[in-house]
Amino acid sequence: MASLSVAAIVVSHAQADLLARSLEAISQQNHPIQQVVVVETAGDQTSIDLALSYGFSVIEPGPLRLGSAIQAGINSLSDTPGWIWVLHEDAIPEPDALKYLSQAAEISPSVAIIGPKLLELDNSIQIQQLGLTITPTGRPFLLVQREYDQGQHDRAGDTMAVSTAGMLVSLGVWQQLGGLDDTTPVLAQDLEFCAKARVAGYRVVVEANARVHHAGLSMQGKRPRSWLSGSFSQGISRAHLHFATLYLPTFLVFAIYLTLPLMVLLSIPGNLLQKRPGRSVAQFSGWIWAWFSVPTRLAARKRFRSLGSLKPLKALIATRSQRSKRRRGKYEVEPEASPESLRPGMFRSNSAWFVLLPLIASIQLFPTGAITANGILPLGANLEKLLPFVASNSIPVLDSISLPTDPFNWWLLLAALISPAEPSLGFAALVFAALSMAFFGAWQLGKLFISKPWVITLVALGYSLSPQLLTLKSNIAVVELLAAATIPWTLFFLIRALGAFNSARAWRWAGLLGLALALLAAASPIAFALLGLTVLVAALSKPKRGLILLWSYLPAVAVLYPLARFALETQNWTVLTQSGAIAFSPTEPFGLVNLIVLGVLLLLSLPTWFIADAKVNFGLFGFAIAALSLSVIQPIASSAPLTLAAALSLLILAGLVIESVRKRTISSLVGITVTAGVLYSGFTFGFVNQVNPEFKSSRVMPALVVAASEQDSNLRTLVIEVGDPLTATYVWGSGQKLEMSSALLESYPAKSDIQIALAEIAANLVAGNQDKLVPLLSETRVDFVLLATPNPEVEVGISSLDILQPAGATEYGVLWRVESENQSSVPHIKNDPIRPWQFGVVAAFALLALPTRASILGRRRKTGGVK
Amino acid sequence: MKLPGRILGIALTLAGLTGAWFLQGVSFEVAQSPKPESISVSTTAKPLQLYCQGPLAELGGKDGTDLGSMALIGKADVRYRLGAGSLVSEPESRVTEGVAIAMASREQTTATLAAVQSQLIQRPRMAGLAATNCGQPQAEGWLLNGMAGSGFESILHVANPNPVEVQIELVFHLATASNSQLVTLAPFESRQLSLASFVEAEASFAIHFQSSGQKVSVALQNRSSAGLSATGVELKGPTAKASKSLAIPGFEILADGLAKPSLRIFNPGPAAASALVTFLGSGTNSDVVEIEVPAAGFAEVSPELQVGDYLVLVESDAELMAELYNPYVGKNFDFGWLTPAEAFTGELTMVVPSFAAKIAIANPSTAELTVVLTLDAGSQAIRVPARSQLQVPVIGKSLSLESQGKYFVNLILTDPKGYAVITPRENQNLGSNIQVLVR
Repeated sequence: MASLSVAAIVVSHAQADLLARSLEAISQQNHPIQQVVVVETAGDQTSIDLALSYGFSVIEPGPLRLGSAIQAGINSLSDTPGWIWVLHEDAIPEPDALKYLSQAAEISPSVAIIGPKLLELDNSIQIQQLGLTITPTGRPFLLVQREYDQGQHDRAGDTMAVSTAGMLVSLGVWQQLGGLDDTTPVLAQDLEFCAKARVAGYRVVVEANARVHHAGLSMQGKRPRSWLSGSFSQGISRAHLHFATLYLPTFLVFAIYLTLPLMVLLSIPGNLLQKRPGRSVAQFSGWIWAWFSVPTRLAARKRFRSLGSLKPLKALIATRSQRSKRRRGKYEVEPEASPESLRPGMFRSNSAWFVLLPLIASIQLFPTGAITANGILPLGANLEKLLPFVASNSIPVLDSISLPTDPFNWWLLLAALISPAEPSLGFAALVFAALSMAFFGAWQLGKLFISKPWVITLVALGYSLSPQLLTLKSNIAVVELLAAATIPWTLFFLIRALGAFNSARAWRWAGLLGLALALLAAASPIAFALLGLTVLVAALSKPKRGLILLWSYLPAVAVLYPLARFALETQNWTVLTQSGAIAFSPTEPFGLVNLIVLGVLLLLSLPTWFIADAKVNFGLFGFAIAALSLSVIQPIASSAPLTLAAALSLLILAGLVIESVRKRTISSLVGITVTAGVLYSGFTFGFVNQVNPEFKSSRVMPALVVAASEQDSNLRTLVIEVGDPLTATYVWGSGQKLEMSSALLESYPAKSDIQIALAEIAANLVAGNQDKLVPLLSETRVDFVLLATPNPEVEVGISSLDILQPAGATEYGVLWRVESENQSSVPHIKNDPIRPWQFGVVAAFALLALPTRASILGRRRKTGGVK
Repeated sequence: MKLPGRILGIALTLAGLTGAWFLQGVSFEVAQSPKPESISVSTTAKPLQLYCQGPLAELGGKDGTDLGSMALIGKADVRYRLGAGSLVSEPESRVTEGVAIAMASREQTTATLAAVQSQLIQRPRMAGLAATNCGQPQAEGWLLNGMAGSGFESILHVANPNPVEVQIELVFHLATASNSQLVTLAPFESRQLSLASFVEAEASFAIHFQSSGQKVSVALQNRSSAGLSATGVELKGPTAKASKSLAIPGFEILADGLAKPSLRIFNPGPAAASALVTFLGSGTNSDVVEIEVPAAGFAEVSPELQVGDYLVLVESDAELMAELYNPYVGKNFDFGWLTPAEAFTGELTMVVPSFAAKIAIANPSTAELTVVLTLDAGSQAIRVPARSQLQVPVIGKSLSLESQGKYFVNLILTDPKGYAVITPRENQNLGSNIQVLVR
């Protein structure tokens, strides 16, 4: 049966190591090979010498693409064989491979192309490819992939295409079809060639007994980018578009080409959910490539369709069940080799019950309305009202002042997402839950270092009931409190992203890390600087995941962008340290309480140098030192979260020490002492000297104004407070809400031409002078006048004005409605073109962070290999 | 990790933390935030209008037997001083009913227009000198000098100097309760109300009035008698606004051994307040009394003072109001209620009725104050030492005072047949130089 004359063409591209194995395997084939030609496209001398050492022919045609390279090899053959065996230098055939391929060719004369079973080079029991086909839209589809080879596919069968790696092809058919078309994307060349053969009436089969071990350099992105003209994803994207052009009906092809941009955009969320953000880039480049190569694609379509009817292909297209099996297969990954299963679980160990302690300590903050203590204003009436002030570049003061709104508004947005109909309540709930968030975060972080649940619980309670955190809670320092609650989560996400075993998981943790960093930046830019630095160090320490980690800065950059641009424009960098108008003023990082707490923690944690490994010690102590060093930077706002960050890392180290105490008596004693300390802190700082949160209704203006603002969003009210001087506040819509404030207003007080007009209105109102009022009220679009401070003299003066209609005394003051027709245009918030991008980035990371099967399932295989 | 490495780690940790400690000394220069500036606005003020209540009212006729009778008796002398400009209408110098004195002016002060009214009465049931400042109508105010009970009678004068109807809500704050009364006044109507039925013969009460619309003029007339003898009469406008610091200049002991003065303090707030009352004597002893004033209640201080004149200062942790009852013995008995004075800076012009008069100028501050007093005869600079007062006789129809600092004044009128104290108020409608802070 060895009558088949076969010449082997080995295409090599400077991979001498693999080539050596390949040539060795070729030389050991049981089927005679008429001639072996090595086509070295990179001109690599080592490869050439290697081929010559085996006595094979070598040609150096230059940097040709695959089709031309094979053709050059064919052209160099001394005798014309009946068949050619195409191999890549990364394909290592088993000794019987060619024999089985030849047998398949001999058995069926209609077979023109036979492909082997491709196995992973590094994992020879795993099938890499066993025939190729396409999806109904023309996307290349591997019939078998990443299945353990247990002989389950060992039967010859027809397929649409086979890979060029190990392909045995009739030379006549090769020449009839013109070989591989080099204008075709590399990853579609074999597909197109085999499909052409099918269309021309030939059969393409896979011979499963012929086994070739294939490194799959192209698929693994180990080829030079020029090989695929981009990344593997880009190659697949182009192959998809190319084959769709060949295969789909004309009208569909045109429709696809016209709607490509839309399709690219629509696929972004899906790609993010699948934790494959790179695919969107590939699709984008595919779109551009397709538009600029339309004539080439159409010419290929013409050539393809001129060979015959496409009907033979239809039966070979991947079926629905094959496709869904593939999708399931994608999520089948090896269970994480990490000690996840060995790590203690918060619920498994019943430690979650301890969250009741931080909850009890926060009972004073149980949400019953809008928090109004410490100058905190209620939030907008609903999500729709609040949203325009998030990441805005102008604030509703006077006729709109060009100042960025506070980064802290992102937290308010989160509150509004929690309670869209009553954001103030959502915000109060966030504040109430802050200590619990801190507890859970510290627990999650702790379990990455400590194995005993009771020690982790102590660490988590130590953080969530620390004097520092409780002081923030008791003083209603909500900005710093939320920042401190975010820090343990940020560290947890960072460590998980760093240790993720596949990129999907890494992207998911990076998504969560990005969001946590964004929230941290929105509450405490200095704390973000610390964690940002930590992320950078982590990325450098593990470059494999580093690139993914570095993307996690993006949401924080989006959050801080308006403030950073303002700082750049004004060269006032101190503004970058304050996240919100309600942020607390600087505190003393080394105050007495801090000194005592940090000192005790340091004493407890220093022995870890003799217990834990250097990486943990350098990491956590370094983090604490960096946190305390950065805490000095608090020119205008408190850096309290940094002290807590330092305390957190010292707590974990102290936990490691406590855990290592072997003697039960000592560990019990230490445990009891620490518990007593935590409870003492909880009582002293959690229950004593608490500031009343002053829960109130979220309405800040009389009901009539609020109702009118529902009808007319341009409504403006002039609020007058009698004093020395008289104060006139120009209030937009339903009143000044927290999201409308800006920390920058204090340093950059509003200045506008409208101030003069408003001052004149106020003066004329209190003077009871109506002469100038009508044009002024109309010009400034004042619809209501509210006398906020009770003053009968002024009230009588205002009441004497005909153009004001008394609207009654309210809990906010005495109200009048302006009776004139206000037709003038009103100021409005200016749209910032960057703003949609800010939301886009955050939304993209939210999609990345969403747990999907791609990122969280580590299921054991159920199908494919094991039955 | 080997032992030296671990020790090095500890050393590095301690060094790092020490470094962080030392970094705390670093301070950052932060640019001071500019203070928001107020805008000065001048607009046309409403015409300046003063109102004189007119003659005193007598209840029950001449003999007190005419039940339900309430009549204005005699004529009140009205004196005014006009600066630049002209009056809307010239008032009579002796009036038989309340009269409004109005003028349009951009700049409005007491120098623009000031007026007083006085009436010396000598009737079987009413005798004494009643003189008061003709002030601007008010939207709201307090009257603290009510007198009820045996031998006392209070009549409230209310007037609506506007061309539109007004409603006035009167709230009577008694020691144990409060009640209210709504009075409606037609345009330009004035009315006198006997308070006997509202105040339940309580010795101390306060009246709060508030207009629902235009400003009104309100004054309280008090009459006292002993048996069938009239022992004094008085007419007084609203008291000074509640404040944590009150100054009453011009207090003299005028009935030593016969009747005692009494300081009435009212706390309109919702919480009890502690007040420190200082009687600063001029060339005589001073006295200090500390007293608790209940919420919405009264406190009375009856000082035991030597003959002399005193500046009375009331300081408190809450905003309080006060009036000082001062009995007088001359040829007749009379009394006066001394009202806390308004703090003036710059110029003050007063009209002086045709009675023996002296001006009490007080300086409750801790620095000496120079006040220039201008009378018809000429000007003189008066130095008022810190925390003291000076009394200067006044001759002429008007006087003016000017100082860079804050000063407080009361004009004391004495006559053998009566005694009265006039407390000047600034005559000004808001209009010029209104400071507005726009946000």
